Amino acid sequence: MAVTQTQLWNLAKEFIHDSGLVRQHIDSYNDFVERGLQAIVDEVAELPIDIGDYPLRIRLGKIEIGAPRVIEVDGTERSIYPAEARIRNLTYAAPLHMEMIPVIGEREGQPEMVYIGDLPVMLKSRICLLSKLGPDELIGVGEDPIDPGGYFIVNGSERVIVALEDLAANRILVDVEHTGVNPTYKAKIFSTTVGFRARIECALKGDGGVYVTMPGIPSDIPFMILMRALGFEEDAKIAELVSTAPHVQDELEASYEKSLEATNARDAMLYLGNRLAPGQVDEYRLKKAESVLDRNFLPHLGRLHSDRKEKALFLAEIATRIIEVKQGKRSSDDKDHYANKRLKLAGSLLAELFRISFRNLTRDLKYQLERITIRRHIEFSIANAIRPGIITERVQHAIATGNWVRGRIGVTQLLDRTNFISTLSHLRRLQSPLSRSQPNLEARDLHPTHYGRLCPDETPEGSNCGLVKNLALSSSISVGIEPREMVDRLRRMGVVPVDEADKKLRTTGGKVLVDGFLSGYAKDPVGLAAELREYRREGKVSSEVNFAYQPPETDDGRSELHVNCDAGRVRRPLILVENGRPRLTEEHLLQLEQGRITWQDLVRSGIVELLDADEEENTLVAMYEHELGKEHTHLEITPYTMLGIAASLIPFPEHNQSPRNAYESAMAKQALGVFSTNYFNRCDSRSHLLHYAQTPIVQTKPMEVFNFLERPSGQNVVVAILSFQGYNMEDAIIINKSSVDRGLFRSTFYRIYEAESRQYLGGLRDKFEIPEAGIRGYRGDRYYRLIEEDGIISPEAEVSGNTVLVGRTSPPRFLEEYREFEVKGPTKRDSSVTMRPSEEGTIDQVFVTESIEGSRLVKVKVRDLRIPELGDKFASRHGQKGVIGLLVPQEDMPFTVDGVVPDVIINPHAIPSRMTIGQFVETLGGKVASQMGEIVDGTAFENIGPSALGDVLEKLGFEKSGRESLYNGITGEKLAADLFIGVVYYQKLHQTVADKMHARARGQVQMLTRQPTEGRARGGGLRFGEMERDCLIGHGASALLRDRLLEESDKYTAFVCETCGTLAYHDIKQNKYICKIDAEKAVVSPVSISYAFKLLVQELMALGIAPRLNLEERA
Amino acid sequence: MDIKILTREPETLRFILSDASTAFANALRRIMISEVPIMAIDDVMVLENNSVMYDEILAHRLGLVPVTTDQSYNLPEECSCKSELGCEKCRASLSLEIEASEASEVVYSSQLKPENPDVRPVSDKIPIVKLTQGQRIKLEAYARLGRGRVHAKWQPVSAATYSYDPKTRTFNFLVESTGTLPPEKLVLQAARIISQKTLGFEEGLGGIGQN
Ligand SMILES: [Zn+2]
Repeated sequence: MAVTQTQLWNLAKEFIHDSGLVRQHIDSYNDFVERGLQAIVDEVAELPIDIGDYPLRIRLGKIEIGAPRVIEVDGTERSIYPAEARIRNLTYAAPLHMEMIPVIGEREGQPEMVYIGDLPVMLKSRICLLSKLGPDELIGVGEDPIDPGGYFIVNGSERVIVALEDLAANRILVDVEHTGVNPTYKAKIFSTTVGFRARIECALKGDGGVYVTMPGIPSDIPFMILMRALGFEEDAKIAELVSTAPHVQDELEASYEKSLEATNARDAMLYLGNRLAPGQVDEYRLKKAESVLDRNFLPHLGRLHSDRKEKALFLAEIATRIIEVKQGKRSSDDKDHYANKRLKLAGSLLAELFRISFRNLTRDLKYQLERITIRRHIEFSIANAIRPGIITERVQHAIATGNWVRGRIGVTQLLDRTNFISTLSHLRRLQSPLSRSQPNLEARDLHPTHYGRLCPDETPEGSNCGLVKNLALSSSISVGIEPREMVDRLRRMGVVPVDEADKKLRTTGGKVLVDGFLSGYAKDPVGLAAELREYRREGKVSSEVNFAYQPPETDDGRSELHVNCDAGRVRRPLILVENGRPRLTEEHLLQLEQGRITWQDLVRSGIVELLDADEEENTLVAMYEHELGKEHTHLEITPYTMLGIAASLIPFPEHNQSPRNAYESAMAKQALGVFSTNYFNRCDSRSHLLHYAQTPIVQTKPMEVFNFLERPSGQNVVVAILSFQGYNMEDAIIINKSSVDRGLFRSTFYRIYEAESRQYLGGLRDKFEIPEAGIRGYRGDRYYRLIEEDGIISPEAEVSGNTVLVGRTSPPRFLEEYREFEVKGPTKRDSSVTMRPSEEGTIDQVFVTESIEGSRLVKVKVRDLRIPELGDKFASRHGQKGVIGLLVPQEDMPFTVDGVVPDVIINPHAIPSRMTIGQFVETLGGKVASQMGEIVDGTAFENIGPSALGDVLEKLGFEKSGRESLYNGITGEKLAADLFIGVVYYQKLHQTVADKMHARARGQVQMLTRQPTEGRARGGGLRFGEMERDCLIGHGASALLRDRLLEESDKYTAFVCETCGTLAYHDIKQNKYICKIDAEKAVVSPVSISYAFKLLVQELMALGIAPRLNLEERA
Repeated sequence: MDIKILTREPETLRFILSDASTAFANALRRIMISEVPIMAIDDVMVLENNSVMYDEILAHRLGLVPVTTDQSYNLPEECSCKSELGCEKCRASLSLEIEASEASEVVYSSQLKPENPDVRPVSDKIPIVKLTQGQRIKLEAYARLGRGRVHAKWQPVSAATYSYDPKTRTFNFLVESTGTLPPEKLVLQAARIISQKTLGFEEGLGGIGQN
């Protein structure tokens, strides 16, 4: 096909544009709104209302969602855009209406469309107002036109539902546990229906028996008994179901023995009943057992009596697998293989939440109706009985806090708006539910099946390493189709259902599993797979479905054909190859460039396809076209799309040691830049803006698709490598002061302060005003200097620590406060909002608006210019971070013969141990780019490379190596060695000295311990910790030790009774020292101790322990 | 010491300084960067600004606009007025008043109106800020003499560098002015500053000699 790298990049771009950077969230949410909501309503379908005399039922009909809107305090309803929600602390939500039909007897009443609550709207989803707007219109409504959406706005703050990486539901995963003497073979199934998950375990234990555990039944149930309870009574039939192979059937021998106490269905059911309701009458036990079996055992197969047969077949399949694993006919399942993982996105997580709150709503409705109708008889209105708050509050609270159903926490997070990359990366993040306190070593490892699906570099260090991951650029998440469709098609294509299959087919044919359920046997599974794939490529089968053939592992093992239709599989695109030639031709690429065909056209015509990790096991993929041989089935599109967003920023990453790329992936998210273009009407509690953000001159191809060039976060600087008086040792960097004068790395820091005038019980409310002098909590005149008559500070005022931004007075906090001032009546107290003690700045903007409760809401935005100073943190794109160690005047800096003076000097020691050769190559690339006036492409794996860059430099009249002779700016002498110098893209990281600098001489102490407070915000002290204490002990510096830990901390004079050794006290009125124990015999002496020690003594006393202090005269 | 001029352009000067010590050549270079006083905008009174650019950034950008230097002005610290605001002898004002009438408009350095035609922006084409319809800026900027070691905006050169051959003690100089003063004048001034410093040093020494 002889295509160029650029053309293949165009293809990859087409794929990324087609799937969109946050499409997974938006698709999932859309699916939830369009199908999920109705499905949850349909599950309930009808509400029986028990009111004795006449039969009333409420039939639930269609559920509809409106457009985002807000209801003001006065009851007016207006549609709102996200910008307003952010400023006014509102929730961007749309109303849900449901059709309810009262049915009395058999007579249907008038259907009512009832408002049942609000559902938060995902930005840029189909029901979001923004999804219909063009770029100019988006700017018009106060948005950044390239904001990706995919998050929610709840109470004004942006929340992301982080995708959850979970084990695939409804699949049998067999594992071997080597804990006891004999290994245990265990199968786990997470049987899941909408919003309900049952964990079923089936184990072949040391005694040879197979046992099952399921929710609701406290003990293990022998396999055979369960099979009998499910309706299969005969041993032979069960053995037949499990396997036709005699060696497998033999393994069941032990299980028969364990089930002798229940040999028919009724006995088996009673056996279960005994474990659920022991001692009850037979009827009750049977009823109970049947209900648990139908509801809790493999609920994904259905929850009715009629589904038992399918459950028995599934259980038999579980037993087969366990036995096969035990006999070595099959290896245990790899839980970390990506074929066994599914992503749970916003839609399915919201479905869980909505189901619970919807159930609460219906339960409440039932209760309300029963109450009302009983009391008032007849005449009722559903709308009056319904409380929409149940859904609205439950859902909003969960999204606002991240506290989901079943006690799961941290499901939502505040969207990271440090820079544009951090926002995108956050929206493409996955979280594993595995505990981060346990090692889970294998689960944290990079697995071969992650290739092209998850970024190999972007994962945090430390406790979350390998558990938090990020999607690769080339990944796409399946939305899924109904498996029914596939089951029918398979039947037509000759797959024989399990109970119709004869022994021969079952012995020689392949098992066909649709979404993990054995739906039949195929004579020729290999041929069937090929045929199905061809159907998919012709567009006759949905491109969402993947087919994986699993060959038998031993001669007498079974082959399997997996048909995967479910949602949440991470897939990646590949070009199809036929007879060693790709189906993609130059013609296709040309048409693509001209816009005559789209990515979807290529998918539909079987040129490219998306494979999940399961199907990928059947492929042989070539990286490049020239490597193609007859045996290849697929061809990669581009190699560098295997990386995620953050790692794609790194130029020449293949020249770096891998951990450096991981560090940079983390640091890119802390770099200051242009996080959004609508920053002037956003109210993020803190944000930064880099003044002169530049696009890097050494770029990567993917930067284009995630708009890094429009929202960059760094600057190109001239970097030289030398030690320069040692001021850059230990990773410090030296910056040219004149460059800083010229505006290098200047940024503005913004902080929002909020004040609301709340209404209290009894009609009292806060008031914005200039508080009168002398009022309770008054801070002193000078702090109120800048506020105006309305109590609010005006824009462009210069403010410093503790300055009042909004003057506010509040009614007394407690009723007791009234009593004190009974004569004067209730007094007010000052509750003004002030600047943080350690910060200063200029008032940038003041927002005065109204909250949802109708109270006045003021937001004051303070900005502060941040000029680089000693201690500010910077990093290149190669995990090379450092703080400023010295600002050097230009005339002192080394200079080249052309008059070029470096902006930054880094230390040569930063290189050898880190092996960040990529930074060297970038330096060369930057030098070439700056001289040629052209961008240099540093895309991973496909770039010009260091030697070619050297050649260009040579042509430009430079050293090939990038080195130049420089002169010492201080002495004027030529430096003895040539320096490596070039242009590198540097990032200013958000940890600036101005935010951290702190010192204290004396100040606040804690109330309880009387020790100095902790933390900068509270003006705290610096902890003199254990190790520092050890150091002084080691030096024998006892006076200093005493000074730090006692005199300058919590010194306290306690009075101790020498007679009994307990604490005494000084009674001022009698001017007498009193010990309650010894009374007249007491000899009380003052003792200097730490107040914390006095506290300890008293706490011990409170525990019923009586410590005694035995005093001795100081020697 | 000997000087031979190689090329001479309005803003660039190349010359060879021969038979000089490294210390002297470097002193000349360093003084050109950090000590030759030139004018730059130092104080901005913002009367109106409803653009998206903050006053502090606007002022910073104005400061970096090179303006021509009229050396008849006094250095603020040496001026007889002793005033923080300065007087007509130590400051020159430039004013800017503009409101965007079009959808969007870029304000260029040419729109700065100098009070003294000898203190005006070197180039007309330096973009200062972009305004959208209805945005308005009104300000008064004061240019003062200053030295590069205080702030880079008072550096008269965009490049002052040399290469040398240690054996022959010849220095191949390149001086590139920002346009505020002609390069030859810069070199001359730098040389004068060296000589003044030497004189000052001699005076200091003289005091010691008399004792
Ligand atoms: Zn003056």
